[in-house]
Amino acid sequence: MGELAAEKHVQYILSVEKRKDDLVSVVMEHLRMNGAYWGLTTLDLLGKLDNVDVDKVVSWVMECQHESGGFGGNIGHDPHILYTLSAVQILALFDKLNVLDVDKVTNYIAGLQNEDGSFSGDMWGEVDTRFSYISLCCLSILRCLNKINVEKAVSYIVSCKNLDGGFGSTPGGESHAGQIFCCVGALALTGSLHHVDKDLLGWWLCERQVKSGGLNGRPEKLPDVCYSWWVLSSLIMIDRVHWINKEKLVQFILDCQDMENGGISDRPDDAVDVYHTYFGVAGLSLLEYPGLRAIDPAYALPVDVVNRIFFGK
Amino acid sequence: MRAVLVMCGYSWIPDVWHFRRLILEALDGDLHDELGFTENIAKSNSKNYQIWHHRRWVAVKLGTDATSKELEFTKKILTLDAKNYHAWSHRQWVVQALGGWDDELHYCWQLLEEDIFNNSAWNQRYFVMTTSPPAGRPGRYERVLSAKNNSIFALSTILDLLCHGLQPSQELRDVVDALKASGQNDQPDPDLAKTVCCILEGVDPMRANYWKWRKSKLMS
Repeated sequence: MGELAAEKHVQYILSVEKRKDDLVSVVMEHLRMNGAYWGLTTLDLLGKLDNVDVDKVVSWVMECQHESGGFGGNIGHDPHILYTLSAVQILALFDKLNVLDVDKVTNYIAGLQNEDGSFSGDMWGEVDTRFSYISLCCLSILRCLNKINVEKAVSYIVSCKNLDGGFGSTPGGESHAGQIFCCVGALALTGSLHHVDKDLLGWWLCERQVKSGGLNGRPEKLPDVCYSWWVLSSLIMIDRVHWINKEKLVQFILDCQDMENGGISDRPDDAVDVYHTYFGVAGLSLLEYPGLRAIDPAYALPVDVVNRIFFGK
Repeated sequence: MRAVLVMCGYSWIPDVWHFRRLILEALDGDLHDELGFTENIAKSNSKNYQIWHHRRWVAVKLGTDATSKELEFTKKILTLDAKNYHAWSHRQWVVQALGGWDDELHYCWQLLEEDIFNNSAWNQRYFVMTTSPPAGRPGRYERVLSAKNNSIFALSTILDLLCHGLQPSQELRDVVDALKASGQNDQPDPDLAKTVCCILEGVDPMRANYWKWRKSKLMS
């Protein structure tokens, strides 16, 4: 079995953080907030978050906040729920949630809930169960779930449940591992997992493991390291992770590493990026790979960070 | 306006699309042109959330004028990638919001003939059966059955619908009865589902045991 090139990945992430002017950074500029969350959480899982200048990161995050209370992907970018969660998660990593005007952020999110319980991503109205998870996760971290109609939020998610036990982006949408993570996570955060048929969904999820040991996101699709998170965290939340072959999945993730330059890619021999580096390391953490800090499958934050939020230091 | 908004190189940036919508509204831009514009960009960026959301915004404004264009557009994308999640999601929204259900089951079947493992097409088939306006459903099958091609698919779909509680019209009963093989009991069975199972045993002998099992479940 291969090994996790932890130090190489740390160097890779730190180098990405410094780069602002090359082509990849320019293309990704609008979602830098997501990239920062992926990179910083990975550093924390590897026990290397102290390599980062906390004050610099926190002040950049706060500069991305819009007057509506939501956060944009970068300075001067329009607010969206996607970046709002990442911003709050980053502040949680550094134990800096106290810099937030909690009412301002939570009112922004609460304002995005629709009549049917669903959530829009921003003022333009796109609806997707991703946004349900994001809203519930964010409000839960900020201890403000009471600002929305939780019952309706749950019933909307349940309306997206399919015959195969999975969940889609909207009612009738095909079951997809990413959407399943969002729906199962949202149900977990609201104490509503009894709506999930765990055996049925557990079977659908464990069927994602292909011969190479990797996981795909839907039947008959290629494996991708990011599903090591979406599928695995879902299986853990419904207590069926023993239905996959853990050793083979570990090997698949390790095979996706760039052992020379650091970083992890979607599948072996492809180009690396911060997104897949995070999901690969987070997946290994869920698989209890030695040397990694534990990660919470519902909050997608280190367990220590979640404990600090809810139980103090 | 097009000269101002040279944004083809920046289609991944959400703010550019926001800005474009504001300009379209302010200048009362031609929305049919806009559909054409997004189509060109979407072909090489078919997994970009912003493009699909923008397309939906335009289609909402055009209403049922956009129906056939939207269905054609998603078909083009699905020809390139038959499982594109955004395309299927958009197609589901189009038929629910703007109509155009008539061809949907036949389209799913075409895709399944190309790749029987296309999970998206199977999902869409179920979506049509359970979500399309009930009044329209039998009519589609009568047409397919009368054409006598793909009758296995049409019959199995009718069976599923009957099990879901469909109340068959006399027209549907007559069309199904006409498919009974000679030698089968000529008395019409009040339970249409049983008749359908018997026909399927004959026309799909590979799965005769499966259709027998389906028939036995009807009686329990």
